[in-house]
Amino acid sequence: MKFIKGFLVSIALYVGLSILFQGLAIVGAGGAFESLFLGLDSISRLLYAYLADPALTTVFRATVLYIAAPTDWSILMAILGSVLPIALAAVLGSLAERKSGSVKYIFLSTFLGLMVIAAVGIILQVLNWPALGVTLTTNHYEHWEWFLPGALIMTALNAFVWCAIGLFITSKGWG
Amino acid sequence: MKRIAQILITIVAFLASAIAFDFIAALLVGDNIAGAFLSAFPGQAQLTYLDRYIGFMSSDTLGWFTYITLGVTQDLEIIAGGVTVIGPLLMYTPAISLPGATPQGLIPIMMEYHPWSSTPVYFMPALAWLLKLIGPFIVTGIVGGAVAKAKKDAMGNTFLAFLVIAIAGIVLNIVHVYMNWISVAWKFSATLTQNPAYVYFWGIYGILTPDMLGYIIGTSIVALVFAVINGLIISIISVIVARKK
Repeated sequence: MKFIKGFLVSIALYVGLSILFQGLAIVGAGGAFESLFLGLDSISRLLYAYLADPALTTVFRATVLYIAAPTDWSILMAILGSVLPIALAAVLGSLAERKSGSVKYIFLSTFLGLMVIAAVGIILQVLNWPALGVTLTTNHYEHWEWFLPGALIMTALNAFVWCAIGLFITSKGWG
Repeated sequence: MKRIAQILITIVAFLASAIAFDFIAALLVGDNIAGAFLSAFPGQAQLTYLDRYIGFMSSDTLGWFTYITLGVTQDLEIIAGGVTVIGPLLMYTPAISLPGATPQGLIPIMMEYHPWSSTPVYFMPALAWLLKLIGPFIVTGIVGGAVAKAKKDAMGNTFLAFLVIAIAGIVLNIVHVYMNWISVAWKFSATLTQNPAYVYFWGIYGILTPDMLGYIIGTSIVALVFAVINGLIISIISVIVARKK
């Protein structure tokens, strides 16, 4: 069961918390919770949106905006959503994998778990674009050609930081 | 080598490499207008990046050194988001950027505007920016690991070096602001290239209501948070370098 436990826990937690925070943002803005599951666009965003977000920049900007408008629920959800789903998934995934006693398994199970779920979401989103009418943006490259690597690199950066923190937290007592 | 000497060498490695990579960026950008955002040093109207940089060094040496020390607080996220081409310029796109929105990041920009593309003019500024961003961090991580006696020391040294440089930058920033306060815009352009998060604090505390204290608090919070995060990330490089000790 090495690897599998941390891998599954991190995926389940991230998806669950992503649904929670995106759902709260929608409900807070007066929308319907079910709209999260209507269409490939919103389903794919559930899988990758927080992971591939430049989280720190978002938190700083949203905090400043929230100071200016402290009643804006969607901004508060943007702040919490940028940090909590990925942080909790990485840290609790690391704790679940702790018994394996292997730095390699603890880090890789959570990191790959988050990367896999983001990659699925990003690929679904790209596949969905023709239906949404998203085509060429700039120069001669198509939208997905910068979106795909950009979103994957950002996910890797976020996942690396949080999984490293998860690793540090579980490192006590390794001797 | 004593611990304090190890930390000092790590600090010097960052400062020296930050300056060296600034000059490398100057060579890569030259007078390319696409890199104007990157070389928008305050009060410098010269044509080339190098002239602007040397002008900044000589006319506002304290400001320049503040800029160098606050280099530890750069935002690594711009590798993949938050930077795009706006008109003729390569620059930040401040936004809560859920993916799929405009921000692209340095690596996607380098892929899109590669040297054989129809508009390669943005490639060199993007490469210069990327080198300025990660070059000093990697050099510091390697030096921090190389001079340490053990893995644990390597991690601590690098993390401490980042923290010390950031605190020095914050103090220098406070001194500089109190010596020269005119408006936020006066200092805006140099340090802005290091981290988009500054924009948000300055935007609300500085430009709307030119407030010296708000500016200092905003800058200090951003600097400390990013120094801690960057220190954690780069200390992993040091551990890898020092793993056989």
